Amino acid sequence: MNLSIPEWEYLGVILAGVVLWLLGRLRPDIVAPFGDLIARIMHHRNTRLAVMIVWWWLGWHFFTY
Amino acid sequence: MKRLLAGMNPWLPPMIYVVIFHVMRGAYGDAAIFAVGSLVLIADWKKWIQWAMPERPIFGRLPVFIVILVASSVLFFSERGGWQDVTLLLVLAPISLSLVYYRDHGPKPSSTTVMNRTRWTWLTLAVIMCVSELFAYIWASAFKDDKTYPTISIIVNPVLESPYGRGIFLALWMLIGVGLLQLWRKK
Repeated sequence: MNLSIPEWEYLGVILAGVVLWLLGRLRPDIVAPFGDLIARIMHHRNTRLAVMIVWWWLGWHFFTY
Repeated sequence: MKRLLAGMNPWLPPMIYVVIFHVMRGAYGDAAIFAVGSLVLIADWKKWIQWAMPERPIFGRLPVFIVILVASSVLFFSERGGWQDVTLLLVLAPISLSLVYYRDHGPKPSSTTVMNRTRWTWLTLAVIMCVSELFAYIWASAFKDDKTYPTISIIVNPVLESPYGRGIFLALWMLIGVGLLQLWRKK
């Protein structure tokens, strides 16, 4: 595959993310399930508001530019 | 000073930093969005808006899928960046904000070793992604070559030019939002 360095980096992170996500489902004694991590992150309103602003900006950035 | 900053949302300084970053790179639209976001955080911190705190909302799968389907159809049948897309995104902003504006239930439970490991691993991946994106942006600007140093936007752009790509991407983006909001999580 003729990919540039940043493309290899993005691909590597995505693959590592999939492996982590699978590991969380199959071996929760090693890595906590992703849903549990999100529940923990989103426990406080402070973080929920900030995360939602970033999520919305991503949508705006990709769909309206 | 200590009293003035008491109770401040810890995400406010990074948010303001992002505003400055976007101003420096000339992306005034992005800067305006994060400036409004910063104002939302300040309004929440200073309790400018008196809002009765509801319980965390939980929705069935069917209404959520219908909303995603309708939203994807809007992007499928409209031109990218058209008024329909802008309206849709502007409608989704207050809805998503209102969905995270619910009552907190006590302090966060103490973390376990597994949760600490998980958090740090995901955080490392997120930082690698952000640094890769930042360096791709810097090199692409310095060498005027976004083919050798593509940012994620450059890679995704051709997909989003197609109505099918836009529809699928919007559905994915909304599903990520549903996951973050945990609309289906009972606990």
